[in-house]
Amino acid sequence: MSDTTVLSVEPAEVEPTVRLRSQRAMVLRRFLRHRAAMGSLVLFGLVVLFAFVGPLVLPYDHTSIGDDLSRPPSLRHPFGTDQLGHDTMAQVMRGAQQSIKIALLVAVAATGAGALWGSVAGLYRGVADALMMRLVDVLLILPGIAVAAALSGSIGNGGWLAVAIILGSLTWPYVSRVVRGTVLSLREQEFVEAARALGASDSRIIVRHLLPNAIGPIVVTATILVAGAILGEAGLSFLGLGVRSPDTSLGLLVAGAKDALNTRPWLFYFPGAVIILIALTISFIGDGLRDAFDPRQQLRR
Amino acid sequence: MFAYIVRRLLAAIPVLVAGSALAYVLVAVSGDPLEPLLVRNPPAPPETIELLRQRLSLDEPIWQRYLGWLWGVVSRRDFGPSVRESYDIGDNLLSRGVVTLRLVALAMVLALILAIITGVLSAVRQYTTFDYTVTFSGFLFLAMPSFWLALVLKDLAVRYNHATGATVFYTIGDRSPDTSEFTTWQRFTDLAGHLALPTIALALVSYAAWSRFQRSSMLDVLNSDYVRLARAKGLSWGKVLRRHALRTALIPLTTVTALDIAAILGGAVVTETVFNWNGLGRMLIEAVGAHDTNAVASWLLLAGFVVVLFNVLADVLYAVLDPRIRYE
Amino acid sequence: MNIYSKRGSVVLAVLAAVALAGACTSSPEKQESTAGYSDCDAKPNECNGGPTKPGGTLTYLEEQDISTWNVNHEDGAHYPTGQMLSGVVPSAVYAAPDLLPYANLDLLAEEPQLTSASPQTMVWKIRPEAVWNDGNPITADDFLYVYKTNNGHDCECPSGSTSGYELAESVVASDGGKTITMTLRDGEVFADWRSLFGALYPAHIAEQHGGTDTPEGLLESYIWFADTQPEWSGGPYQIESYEKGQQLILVPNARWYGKTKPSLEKLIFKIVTDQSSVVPALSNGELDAGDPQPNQDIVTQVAELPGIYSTVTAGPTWEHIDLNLENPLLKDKALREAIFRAIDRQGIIDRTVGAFHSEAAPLNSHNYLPGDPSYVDVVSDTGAGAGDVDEAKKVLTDAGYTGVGVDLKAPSGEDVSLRFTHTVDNVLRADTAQLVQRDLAELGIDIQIVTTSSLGRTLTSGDFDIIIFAWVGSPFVLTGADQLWGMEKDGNWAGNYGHWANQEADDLIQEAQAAGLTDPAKGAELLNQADKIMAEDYYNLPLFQKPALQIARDTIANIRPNTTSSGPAYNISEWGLREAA
Repeated sequence: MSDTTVLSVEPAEVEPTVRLRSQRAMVLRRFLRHRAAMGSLVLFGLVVLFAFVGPLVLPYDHTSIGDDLSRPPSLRHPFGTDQLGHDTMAQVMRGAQQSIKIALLVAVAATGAGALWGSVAGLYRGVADALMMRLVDVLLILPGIAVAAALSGSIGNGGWLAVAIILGSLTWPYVSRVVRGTVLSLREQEFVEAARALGASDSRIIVRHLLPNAIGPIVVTATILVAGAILGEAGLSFLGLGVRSPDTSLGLLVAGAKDALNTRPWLFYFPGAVIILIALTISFIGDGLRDAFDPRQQLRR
Repeated sequence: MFAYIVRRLLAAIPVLVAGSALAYVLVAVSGDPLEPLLVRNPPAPPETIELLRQRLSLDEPIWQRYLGWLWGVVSRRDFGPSVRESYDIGDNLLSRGVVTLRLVALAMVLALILAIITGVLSAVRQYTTFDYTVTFSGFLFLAMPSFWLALVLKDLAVRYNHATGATVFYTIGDRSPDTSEFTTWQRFTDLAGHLALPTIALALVSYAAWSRFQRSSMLDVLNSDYVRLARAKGLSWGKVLRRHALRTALIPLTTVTALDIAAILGGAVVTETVFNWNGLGRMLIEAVGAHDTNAVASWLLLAGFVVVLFNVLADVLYAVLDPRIRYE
Repeated sequence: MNIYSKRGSVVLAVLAAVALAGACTSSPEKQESTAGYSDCDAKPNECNGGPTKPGGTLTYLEEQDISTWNVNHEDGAHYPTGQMLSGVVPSAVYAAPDLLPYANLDLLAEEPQLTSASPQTMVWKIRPEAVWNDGNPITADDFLYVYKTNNGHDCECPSGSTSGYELAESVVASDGGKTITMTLRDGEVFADWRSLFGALYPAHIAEQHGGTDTPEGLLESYIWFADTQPEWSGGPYQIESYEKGQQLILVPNARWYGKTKPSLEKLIFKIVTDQSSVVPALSNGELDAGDPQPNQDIVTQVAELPGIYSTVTAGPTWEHIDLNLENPLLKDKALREAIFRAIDRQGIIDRTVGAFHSEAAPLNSHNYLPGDPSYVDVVSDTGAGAGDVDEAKKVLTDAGYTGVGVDLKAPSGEDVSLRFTHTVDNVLRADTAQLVQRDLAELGIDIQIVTTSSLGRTLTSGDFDIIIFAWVGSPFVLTGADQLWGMEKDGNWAGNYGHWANQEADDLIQEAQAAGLTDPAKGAELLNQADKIMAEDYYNLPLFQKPALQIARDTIANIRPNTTSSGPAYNISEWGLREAA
């Protein structure tokens, strides 16, 4: 007699648990799993907090002139002071604000303009495409820093907006090229044909179908632009062509301290470290985004 | 192939002309070359200012000056009068171009070699410590402002010189002032000592970008079907790399290298300023400072020409290296 | 006689002229060695002196490239160019570190003479031994060439300055070409005549490249001199080679006729444009000496380098704050007085130049520099620049201003809000602007800091309220004072950009010019009286002199700071390796 305590296991009502994941959710998931990118996102967030919320916490602002001249870092002045009596931490915060503002404006504007330009060119092809891309070529032919140098005298008072405009007008051509390439490959796919068959207008196709699918390369390019803008602003300020006094930026702070490497290193290394931190974190975030949109590279052999 | 190159170059001419027109107008509008004379303390005599105005044809409308300048360049290789009386723009472009070329060429070669080695190795050893180190250091160099890096390098080099007691690294110029009595060997080491720092500074930033690019294109190849097939058939990694993967993986990088020339020229501007090289970079800064429209426009024209050349070169390389691509 | 000039064709004549001093003969054989810069205050013309031994190469830093080979050309009023050509282009006059002008007695047989005051007649006599390096003697023809190309009417030459020469009636050679007599037109006075002929060019070479008789010929040779690297020389050195933007290499001129023969084998002027390269290059042995722009970090590091002498001295350039008297608010003297009283000059100094120039002090004269016998403090008594906010507030309240210290309003009820303008890219001025803004905020004045990239235009158009910029001093000042502080003539305000007009002061300046020709002390006294009137009117506040840095390796003798436009190269023939005691 066998034991009849056979547990009869009824198959539970198992619903297929494969949740329908939208592309967006999948991308997000992959991104969240990318440790370096997540860490960088946190760090970048900290830097932004430091730059924009920090001044509310610090007892000085970037224009306050105290009596401690050229002091190394201490409890009162965690980043030290400069020759005029400014608190370096307050200056770095303000500089970070201006640099971040420049970088974000450049990225957003250049990406927006470039994406639109590139997708229109890619969609229409033919003469319109040729003309539009010729213009892009003309702009790309001239080394950016040279054009920036040539223009720097004429726009504004050297405030952050002027620098952002100059950098933005030099970078949107890159975006347009990338987007055009993506659109060229996308337009041949069925969903575009289907949309057309359904009578969608061109602008609708661009906005509702092409751009969302090109989002991957666009976003990645945008992060590259942000990092590039931060460094570009620093370079321009070093040459005396970027942000100018009385406004400040990270590049200007480092450029002003270029002789102080050995004598007052806190004036040189702190702003420099912040520049590197911002550019680094943005790069990692961009890397993570790229892997999230296009996971081919993560396959093991 | 030859026909293709010629066609590309011809097609580039209108782009160059348009670019130079744009550049000329931008510079002419952005500053007044007579400014330094007015600002000078005390100002120059009015007759002198008038003479300068005439020499530079400043009373003519901009488009007329531009056409005159362009015609001079094309027909006589005359790059126009400079704000500074004795400054021959064409002469300077040539002599300084040679200096910059030396720096840029060497930096590109160095960056390329380093990028290929680290890119390939870190793809092959993906996710090892080596990979992480290389990737991270690549990111780090990419995130540094080039002048920041150059200044730190200079400081380190001087410390090194002091520590070893010998002058290994030089910090100003591309050679020592008086080399008339040097032997050939001494001249060589002198040049090398002056080249070392700026080349490293210029190469490091490009290397970082290219290394990552090489890694990713190497990964693409390693994950491709034919490589997997070769491995499945039992070929060793060494053979696979040498016979199949490497050449394909190198293709994209070579073209990217050529296309990056504009960025490298921009980097050279900063590097030459920090290390006091008398190259094109410094020439541009000086010309902009003097509001010297003809000099800046000539510079941009030359730079544009170089960029076009390298773009065509990139396409040619691509065609040569990748047997799947053929241009008619 | 120390006279101190600012604007005015004079300064330019001086810049071009005095910038070249082929030889210094202010001190004969020095037997004792006075190494280092410690006694430069007491003995400015002799510090760091000593006998030299033959041989050696010296590399001297210059911050910019040569702009032109013709120093009289408009491109030539350029300090580094003047320095580098000091050894090659002879000059009749130079300024020594003690701020006095000296006649070049290697070239001239005796001091130039003023033989008549009206019409003003001057005589120069050339030494028979003076020759160019091709053997041709230096004669009156060379003086004549300079006169013709710089007087503004004998040719259409783009000259850097025509002052003095344009007033001449005639320039005559005599005595076999060894004597030059220059006579001004009737009624003309040029008090700074000793600054003339500061850069001589070989007329016999001009003959071969255009000639010296026709306007076209003169222009051609003038431009030829500007474009062509000189193989000729009338000074202690001649050019061996030049590499654009890199260096100029000089070797001794075998035909040098002066008292001191150069002891160096080679003299290299190395062009280093990037400020941050100076210290590493010095430390690395790539440079031996120089006078770069100082800042706190460079000064600190250079002082710590072993085997290097360095010193910071007060330079000839002085910064000042000007008020625009065309601004309706600033027409009120009470407001001007309050503004100047509130500005704390010492505070500004402490945070800017005082950080590396320990002796920096507020400047108290508009014409002379401390150390000059004619220097008189006309500013301190007025309370300007003292940083006395309470006193300033009192002045405002007494004058009927309201909202003092909070939000200042004029008696008419208008808000007192002014712009403070400075040149872009100038850290010193940007810092000063912020400090002044802070000082004036205590009075309730709202200051808006504005930058300009075209100082000339801003000044001439009067588009400023308060502005900071600098004048360059020189030993020759009387003519310049008229253009800087004098009233308008036929609608031309010249250098008086803020339009300060005072008849009494103007009369005194005119008197000073006339008197100064024959009695320099009297001229200075009258000028100081005019200055006192201006100081009491609170129009221009002198701040401080910009410091100058002089560096030299301790193995080199006779390089000493010279803050005049002749620069340290004034005694270039004496530079050399120090002879070990």
